[in-house]
Amino acid sequence: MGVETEYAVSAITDGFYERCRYADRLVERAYEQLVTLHDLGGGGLFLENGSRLYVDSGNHPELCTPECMNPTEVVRYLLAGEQIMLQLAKGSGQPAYQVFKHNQDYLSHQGWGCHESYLHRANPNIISSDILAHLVTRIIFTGAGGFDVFRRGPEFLISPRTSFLKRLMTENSTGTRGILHIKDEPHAQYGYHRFHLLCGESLSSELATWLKMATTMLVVAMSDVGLHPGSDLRLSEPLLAVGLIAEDPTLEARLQLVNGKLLTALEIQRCYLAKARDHQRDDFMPPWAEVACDRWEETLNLIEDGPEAVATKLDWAIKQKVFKQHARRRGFTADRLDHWKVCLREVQAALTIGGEPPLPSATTMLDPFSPVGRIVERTLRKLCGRGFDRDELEDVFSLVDELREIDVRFGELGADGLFCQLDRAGVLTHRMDGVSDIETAMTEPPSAGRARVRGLAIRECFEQRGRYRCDWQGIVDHDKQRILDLSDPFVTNANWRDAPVKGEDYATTFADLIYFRNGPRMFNSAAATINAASISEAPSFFPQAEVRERHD
Amino acid sequence: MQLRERLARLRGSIAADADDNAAQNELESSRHEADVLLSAADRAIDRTLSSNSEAFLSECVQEGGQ
Repeated sequence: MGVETEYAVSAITDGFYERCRYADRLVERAYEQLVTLHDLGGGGLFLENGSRLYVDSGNHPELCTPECMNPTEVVRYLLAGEQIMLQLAKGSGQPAYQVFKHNQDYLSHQGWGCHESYLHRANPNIISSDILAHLVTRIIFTGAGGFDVFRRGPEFLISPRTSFLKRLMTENSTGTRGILHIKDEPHAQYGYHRFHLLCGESLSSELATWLKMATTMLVVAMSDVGLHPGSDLRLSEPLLAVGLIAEDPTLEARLQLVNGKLLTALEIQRCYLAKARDHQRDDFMPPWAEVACDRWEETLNLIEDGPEAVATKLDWAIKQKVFKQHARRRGFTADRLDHWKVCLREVQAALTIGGEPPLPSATTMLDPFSPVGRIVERTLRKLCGRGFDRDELEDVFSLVDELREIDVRFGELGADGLFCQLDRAGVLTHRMDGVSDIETAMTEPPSAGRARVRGLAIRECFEQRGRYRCDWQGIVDHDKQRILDLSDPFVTNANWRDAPVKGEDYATTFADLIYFRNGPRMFNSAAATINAASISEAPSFFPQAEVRERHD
Repeated sequence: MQLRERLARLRGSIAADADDNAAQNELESSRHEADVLLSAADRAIDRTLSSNSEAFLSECVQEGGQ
């Protein structure tokens, strides 16, 4: 299993933020400062700890953890990745960058993804149907917390990512997003699949990230052997359900199941947990299953006591607590904020054009001479009779922007980040046993699996890195016309072998190189089309940035 | 009431009191944790929040992802 994290980057120069090619510059720094090999597409790098750094579509840096064998390892490599990003951001070059692990941009209404991958063997359609109710309801402990980017008011969501989910399933990862991502891109030899999820969020709490990976892997494992853990938990309206849960921090919302039952998210989670408990010691389950069930149960028990009980443990509950406190300090009680939520919904509805609500800035909305400002004024005049104080609007907008900034700052990497400051103050209880020695994980690959072989090979090849290209499934040595095949996820040794030759045209594509052994299903990434000739003609890899893989 | 029965009731009552006390202690401990969290959060926010959040949001992370 593993995680891809998309980061937001800013630069400070002379006190001003400046937009330029931040992401490219960070990857360039990685190329200069770290032990790496170029990836196949030419726009990214594989690192000696087995992870991958590249510039993703949307022009942001994305760092994928190496393939990990357990959730503790995932958390450890996520934290190592953050340290790598910080090292690059604060490196010797100018300007210095700020890096944010954040999930949504409140002005452009874009989201930054945190995608998960889980290895399995069963038909992906079966997994999808078994796991859907889990994905919908797990947000009670995996939610990042934040505000609905599509609303101007302070509308808290347990999982802001849910406001981007418009479909049940999708093949697309950059446009209309679904709860399930059905693209079958295994990055492994025939017989394996990668269950790829777009609906998750970047989290700061170790416990929340650990549970996200552990519980989902357990459900995948049960589904993989045909247990159908979700067969009696099919939701009537999964999209509606995920929205309901996200909007309801009391967690009282009851969800309609296909079988007619009405269950809360917590109850559905308890059903999945009970099934995992029944099989926690079975051979098909990972060795950490029992511990995972213990942590899962403890967390659900706490959640049952209400958000206060997890307010030092889970991202959404920590944020909710902090947001409420900040609003109080600015003179807004929870009731007053609720009033303004209603008011701003009406204002937004009045501004709606063609069904898509525009979200002008506070400055524009407060300008009585702008067309938008006049609509706002008219709407507010109507609402004044219902207890709204027009003069308070400026303070409301100011508060909303402050809360949003707090949300963004929460995920800022480094000592200035709010989560980091709280953690340093010792007021959080989110740590997981075994997540340690992050510095070593910045350069050492995981202890087992192909990521280890990859990482060690990258270190070995680094001195002459111009002749190599790396991919999840292997490393190509162009000079010696050989490959290191990593298409077996559990490979243990670095066995280089001669590349097959197709007449005069040696190794037309990397896919060709491993196709001969593994068959056509093994490598279906359209991205892997760079040919050997272009590799050899590319002494410098950044000029090739335009052929960068449009990875998701 | 038989002595044995009264004793059993008394034991039950003591156990229930102990449970109540444990729950009360847990609740107070949780409240204390939350208060400490809020104080720390106030201090961290005062140190960190920019003077103009709207400007921060518009200039800082507007390059969107996916």
